[in-house]
Amino acid sequence: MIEFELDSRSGLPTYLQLVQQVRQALRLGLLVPGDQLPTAREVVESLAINPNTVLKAYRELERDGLVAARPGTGTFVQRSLGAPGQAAQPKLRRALAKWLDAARAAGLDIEDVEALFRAAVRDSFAEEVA
Amino acid sequence: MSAIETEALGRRYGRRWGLKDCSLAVPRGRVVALVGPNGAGKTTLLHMAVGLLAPTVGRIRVLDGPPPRERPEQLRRIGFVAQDKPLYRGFRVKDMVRFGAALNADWDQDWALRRLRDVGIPLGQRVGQLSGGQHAQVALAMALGKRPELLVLDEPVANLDPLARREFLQVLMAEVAESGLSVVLSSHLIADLERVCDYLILLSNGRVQLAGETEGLLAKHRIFVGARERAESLTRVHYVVSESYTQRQATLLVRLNGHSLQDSGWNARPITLEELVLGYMKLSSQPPPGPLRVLQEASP
Amino acid sequence: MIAVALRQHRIQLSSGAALMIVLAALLVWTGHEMTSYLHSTGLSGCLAARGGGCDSFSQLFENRYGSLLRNVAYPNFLPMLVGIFWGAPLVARELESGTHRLAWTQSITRRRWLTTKLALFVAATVGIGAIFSLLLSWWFHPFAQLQFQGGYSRMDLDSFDFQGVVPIAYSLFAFAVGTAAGVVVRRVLPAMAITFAAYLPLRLLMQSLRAHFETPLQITYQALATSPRAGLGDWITHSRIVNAAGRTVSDQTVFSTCGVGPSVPKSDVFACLASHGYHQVDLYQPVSRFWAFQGIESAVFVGLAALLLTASCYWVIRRSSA
Repeated sequence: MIEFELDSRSGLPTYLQLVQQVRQALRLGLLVPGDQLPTAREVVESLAINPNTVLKAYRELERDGLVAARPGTGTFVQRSLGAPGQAAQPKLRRALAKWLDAARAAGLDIEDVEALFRAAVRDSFAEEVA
Repeated sequence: MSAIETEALGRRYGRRWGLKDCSLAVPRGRVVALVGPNGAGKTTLLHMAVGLLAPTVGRIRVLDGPPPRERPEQLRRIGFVAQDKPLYRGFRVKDMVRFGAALNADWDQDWALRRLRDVGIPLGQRVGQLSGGQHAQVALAMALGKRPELLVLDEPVANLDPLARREFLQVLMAEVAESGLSVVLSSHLIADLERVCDYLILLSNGRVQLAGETEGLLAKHRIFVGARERAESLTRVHYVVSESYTQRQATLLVRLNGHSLQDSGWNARPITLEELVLGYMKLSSQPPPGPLRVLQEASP
Repeated sequence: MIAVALRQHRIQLSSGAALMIVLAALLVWTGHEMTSYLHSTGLSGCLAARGGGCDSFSQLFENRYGSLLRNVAYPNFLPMLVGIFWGAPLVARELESGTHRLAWTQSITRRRWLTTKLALFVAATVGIGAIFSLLLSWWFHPFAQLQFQGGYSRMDLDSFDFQGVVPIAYSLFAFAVGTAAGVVVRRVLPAMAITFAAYLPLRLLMQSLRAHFETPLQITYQALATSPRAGLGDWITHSRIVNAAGRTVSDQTVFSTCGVGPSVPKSDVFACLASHGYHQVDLYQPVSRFWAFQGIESAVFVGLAALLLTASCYWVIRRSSA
């Protein structure tokens, strides 16, 4: 069974952290189809977070088709995750290298690049909340 | 379906208004954080919800019905733990449980005993000799023993050490997961409640500064950091809740009003609940700038 | 709720019971001793014979137990203790420690909470007052017999207060004062102090008014002589000497005019008194009025108690802000 953690300083909403951890576990093969996710009560008992957060995370995962809720029994993993977008990765990697060249040419050092990147990541993923 | 609804609620103590012009509509099934500095009116509001105080002006409704002051039967559906978690110090834990059973028609004795056993509280122990964390757990069990629909807690985690605080919230959240209970907790520190609440009410100087689902509130605000000279470009466009300046840098807490975020030269980042609360508290301590200072979020 | 109230107040109630047991033990012990003394010295026989001349026996009794009688005023404080230790903390303790915020948010009304506690304590107060009265009436019995020697009257100040129904009324009044004080000041110790300060003056006031509950009767007889009503148990509220014109004269005047002294023969003194027309005028309340007076005084105190308890209920149920 997966055990969740919470990083209160990551700036990422709690439910997204849970979603991410499930996806990560699926990617690493720690969770396989048929496994049961912890109940909201179990998660909440260990992390002291709002149960709605857990339910929201599970709903998101269900929307992505990764898990399915069976009323009365629990929430179970439906399918596994290969590393996502395997095919797209080399192309993305090249685009990233190009972008970095442009940034460095503009005079950004490693900290500027990281700050810019982090802000863009946050905005991109956080926009899903609103 | 609301847990607590108020309309222009106010309470006066002599010449001072402890709470003024309070209008709220808190939906059920939420964990509500009621925050504000000491003296802001949190206890006043909570006491009116549980029938210990009567309003001076305005109305309050609890669980879609009259407040307990008007209809005492409502108390069967509301569990309350007052500040300092009062219990009878001379009683043993089992006496407290009997007290609960005798005074509450809907008391679930088995549940109460099981709960106390689960958190490791010996029934024969005197209340006066319990540790802070154990005392808090007994007080919580007393409030939940009647299986209420609404639980109201006044500063429940103040004076608890971090471990006891964690355990208290764990037990509380497990109960919410089990029974879909609505909870209102007050604290003067939002940090205590950030993890657990999904609805926020901020009180300051007896008035509501902020009220709404935390998700919505957080989405509506950003922190902008940038050059001081450029501050005006932002303040013209967005509503600035609070600002701070150094010689060169401006840090602005902004409430988005729909305009585009893309403003190069500004580093915008999402905001934490604590920063949001602090920003609005700073706002309230300054003289009012004029238009709307209260942000009320309708529930989605 | 009754069970809760009993559990919550068990120390107070059992202390009261313990105190009554101690008091009972003391009274039974001394009372028994006094009664057997009466029998063994033949004083009771002498009194029963109604032949008079029991003065020397009475004197013996007085010598031995007189001081005990003079200390009997102390139990006067016992009803006040009910007010201080049962009444004052009743509501004040909860308000002071904040437990009212626990008690008033359970599923019973404040009215039920308070009236149950009050019912419990009022019943206990009546009980304790009744036991007190019975014990002391029994203890006073030997002295009642001595009445016939012109000694004590059942209606004397420190005798009346311990018999009949007034102890119950005093206790209820003290309890009500304590409760009301506790409700108003919300702190136990100040409430106790207020109870003490409010109870005593009122008791003393009523005591001083007692002589006038009904118009006193009057008897006139020869100055310095034994009253013709001696031994009938009258409560003499006022005694003075008047001259022929009916004006009061001080004892000193009488003594100096007629040279009253140990060496002067009695017959001369009485002749002198008669020639000046000096008479003794006693105002008295006959012992037949004992129960009427008990009724009046009890009614006043019970009435006050009812008022105070009603006001306390009103305050707690309607007005109290947490």
